[in-house]
Amino acid sequence: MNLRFLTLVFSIAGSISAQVTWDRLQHPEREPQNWLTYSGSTFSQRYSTLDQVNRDNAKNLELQWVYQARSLEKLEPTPLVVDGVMYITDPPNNVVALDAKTGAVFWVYDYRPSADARVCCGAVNRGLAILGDTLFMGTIDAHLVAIDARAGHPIWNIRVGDPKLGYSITHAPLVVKDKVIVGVAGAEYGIRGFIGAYDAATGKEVWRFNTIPGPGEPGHETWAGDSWQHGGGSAWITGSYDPSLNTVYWGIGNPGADWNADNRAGDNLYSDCAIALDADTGKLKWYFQFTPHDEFDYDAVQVPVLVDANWKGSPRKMMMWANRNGFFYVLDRTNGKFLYGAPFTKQTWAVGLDENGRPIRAPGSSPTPEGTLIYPGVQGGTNWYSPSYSPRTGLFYIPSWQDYYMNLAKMPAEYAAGQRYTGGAPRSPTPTLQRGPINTWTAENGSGAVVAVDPNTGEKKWQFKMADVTGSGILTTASDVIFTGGREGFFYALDARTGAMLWKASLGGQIAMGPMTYRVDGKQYVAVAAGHALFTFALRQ
Amino acid sequence: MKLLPLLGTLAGCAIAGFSQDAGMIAADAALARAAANADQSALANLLDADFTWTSAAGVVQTKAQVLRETPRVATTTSDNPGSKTFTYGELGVVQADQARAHLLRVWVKRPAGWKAIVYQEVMSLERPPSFTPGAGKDCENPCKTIPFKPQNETERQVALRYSELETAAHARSSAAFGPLVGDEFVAVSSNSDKLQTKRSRMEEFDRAKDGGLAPTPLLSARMFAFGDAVLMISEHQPDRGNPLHVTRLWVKRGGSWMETLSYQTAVTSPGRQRYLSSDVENGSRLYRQNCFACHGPDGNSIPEVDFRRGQFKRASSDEDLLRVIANGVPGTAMPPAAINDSARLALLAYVRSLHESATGSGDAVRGRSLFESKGGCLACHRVNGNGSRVGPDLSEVGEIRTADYLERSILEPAESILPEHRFVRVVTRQGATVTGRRLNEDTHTIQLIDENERLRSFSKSDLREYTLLTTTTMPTYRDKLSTAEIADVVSYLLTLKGLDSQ
Repeated sequence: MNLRFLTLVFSIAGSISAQVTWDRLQHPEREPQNWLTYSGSTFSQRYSTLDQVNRDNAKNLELQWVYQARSLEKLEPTPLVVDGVMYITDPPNNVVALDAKTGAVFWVYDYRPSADARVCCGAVNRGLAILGDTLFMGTIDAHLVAIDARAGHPIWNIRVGDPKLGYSITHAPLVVKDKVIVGVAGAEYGIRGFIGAYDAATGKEVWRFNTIPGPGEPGHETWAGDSWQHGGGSAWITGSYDPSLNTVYWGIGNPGADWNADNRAGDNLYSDCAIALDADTGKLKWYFQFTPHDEFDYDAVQVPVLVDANWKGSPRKMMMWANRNGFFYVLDRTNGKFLYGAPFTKQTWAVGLDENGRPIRAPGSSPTPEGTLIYPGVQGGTNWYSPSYSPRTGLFYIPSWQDYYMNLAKMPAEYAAGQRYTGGAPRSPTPTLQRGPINTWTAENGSGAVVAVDPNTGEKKWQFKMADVTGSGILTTASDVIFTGGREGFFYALDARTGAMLWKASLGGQIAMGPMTYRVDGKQYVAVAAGHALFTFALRQ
Repeated sequence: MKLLPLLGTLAGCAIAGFSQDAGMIAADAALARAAANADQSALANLLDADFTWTSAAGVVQTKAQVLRETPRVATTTSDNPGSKTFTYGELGVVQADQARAHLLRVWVKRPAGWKAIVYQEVMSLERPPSFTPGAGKDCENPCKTIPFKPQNETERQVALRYSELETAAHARSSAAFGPLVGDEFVAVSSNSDKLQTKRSRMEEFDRAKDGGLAPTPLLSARMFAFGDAVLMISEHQPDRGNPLHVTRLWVKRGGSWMETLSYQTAVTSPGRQRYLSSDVENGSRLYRQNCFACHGPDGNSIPEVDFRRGQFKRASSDEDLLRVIANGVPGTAMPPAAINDSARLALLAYVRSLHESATGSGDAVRGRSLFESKGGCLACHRVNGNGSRVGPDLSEVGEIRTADYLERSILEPAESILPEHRFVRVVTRQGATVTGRRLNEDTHTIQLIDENERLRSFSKSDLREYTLLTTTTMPTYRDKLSTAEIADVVSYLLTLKGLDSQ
């Protein structure tokens, strides 16, 4: 007995399987079988070089396995896959490790968020980050938890913000070098947002960037009076990282209160901005504000997509951004310089952008107590669901809401700790819409569409329209196939060049996450969540 | 009637045996100096390999432990007034008394000189104990049987004499007691307020009118024989309170073994339960009948009182608790209990056991270091991110398991492994053998964490062999750790409540 015990001990010491090093995270192209970060790479293009499923055989996709979540919340995570093991979150904050080939569960980590947690828009979670053998998760009660990826046990757990005041985390953290970077959300409760970097080994805070500058910080002058104290500036979604510039990019949410801007005269930095931070210090390098002095809840709640490509004939480090405000932007990510911008959906709040990309507000577009009709509506031209960029087609693919509007009534906004702080009521013009088994959504409320934009010209190459709107992210592959879905519960394979539908499956529940792909034992799988379940598909054998 | 002549004979005999040994006295002084100066090399030279050091607070340490963290030594040395020295051939003792403090050092003469084998402190009680141990109980162990296997004729004879001595005490027979102890006999105990001599003990027996008292049951004993002197070191479990660490000296005079001293120190890190399990059991019944309605199933229904956490409003010692149980608390809902002494003791044992089952009876700090070093537990187990994942993670084990279960799994891992932690061995079609802890299984597949701590999933149709192992690779710690050390480890494990609850 003792001898065997010793043998076991020595064999453990002898071999530990490969960890997910920072080097691996920077080079996802070396291991297309895995999906190691929320957006597939720190450039966040959601582009995979896997090509087993192609435009010809996509019609042969068939279901491989299903994971039924225990929660009835929307299943919003993009799974990670590391060497055959898939990690997903079961809302709000349980973590599940599955065999990526069969869906069989290895372990479940149960996290019970505090009863103080309050989230405006769903007790959801969008996924995990990994470094070494450790998974990282932000929670709806604003904790950051490190979890052993092999055993499913917590390693450390720190409080990032006070859930009683509305602080929460719903997005997947971003690992950069030895740090875990995550931001807080909760502008709808009047938080003061920030992005923080935490030591991956201990959870100790390394730096913090206040998304709403306080007294003495640059940008503070863009807030009237004390309005900055509850100025919002949420981080709803994961940022990106460029190693060549050692820069972290993040999209910042709306100012508070959302729809009543009376007491916050000024541009309200850094709400509705793309920000560029030094990865080691959190120091601001530049910012670009899409919607100054926002009165529409048009937060920059998107993943920054980083693209190295030719721009008007010469190579350029760019950032592409389809914003909730209905405009598509191309920026120079070395300095934040505006290169291009144009609407990708109908919008009425601005007459256009000036030469620096600043919107020129349309007269009479501010919300009034009586209500103002505005395109796009409150959910925006797009929202948090990830777009995709294919280096092969050179096109940027936007999950969009077309011809969608709201009747926005301004209301008084009074801050009270932990209470809603929104100052308005955006309403749908046709109030009795039903969704679920019977859907009475009509085209006059707008429709979902995948829009393929040529970033060089702004030209819409094609669009794939759906009757209902979409909350699904987009995946592109090296075989020029797009995977996406929508609220109706259809999961589609589209031709990335033409938008033609190659295949569809009806999954019986809305798709509200970004599909992803991976490979195990030579077989390419595509995973997508719909309703309360995760489905995986692969080619029929 | 035969008492006086016997005493006379013994006295003459005993006095003839005494002699002062200058070498031993010098060594004793050197020990006091070395300890005061924390001079480890001097200490190492003066301490015998079998040395134990027992403090008045009840900590028992070995030579190695003493050398690592030199304990504070009482300064009384052999040349102080009030100290006595005796030598019995190769064995010598130094005894000193200062008020309630009693100090014993036992020396053995080795080829390399005098070495200390025992250092023991006893602090007597300030007042007589309110409770008489063993009242009404039989004298089974140690009168009739003792759990000690003699290795030779000397040990057999001493063990027999020890049983006779305890029988005599139980019978309160000074006539039987007299011949069994030497004239220089002294006994001191943490559980008594007196220093007993042969005379005081015999007078006490003669005065007593009531029935006998059961001597404290013997749990274990070791003997060291040096010619006509035998050192006996044993552990006893009294009816209540901590176990006693007892040093006795036996000397052969006129062909018979006699006890010359008995030093009894209550130890604070007992290796086993402080209360008899039968008392805990009875107490549990009595608790349900008398206490449950107000104190609740977990003993925490009354504000500021929590039996599991050992929290009381008006009591801390066993004495206090017995008093509160007997008298109640005037002006509160706590009534006096019309129950006899043994029922009160049973209730005490149960209430204390509630606390022990929540915290264990050992030292959690020491337990952690045993767990991580001597026990080597992290080679297979993991706690809060440290250690191996091959065995079950123990980060929350104190939340989900009882002290009893934990102790059992350390002593008898093979018998106590839970089905959910079983290991499997699979052989793939390609001939690869993989062993690991089973995580999940269905009709067609099996998932495990293998010996390289990797998550593995197999289709059963790809397997040539598949065995669910009912054995465990975990060794028993029965021989690797002492009883006290196992109690320490259990106490440590009981502190592990998981990260999220912190």
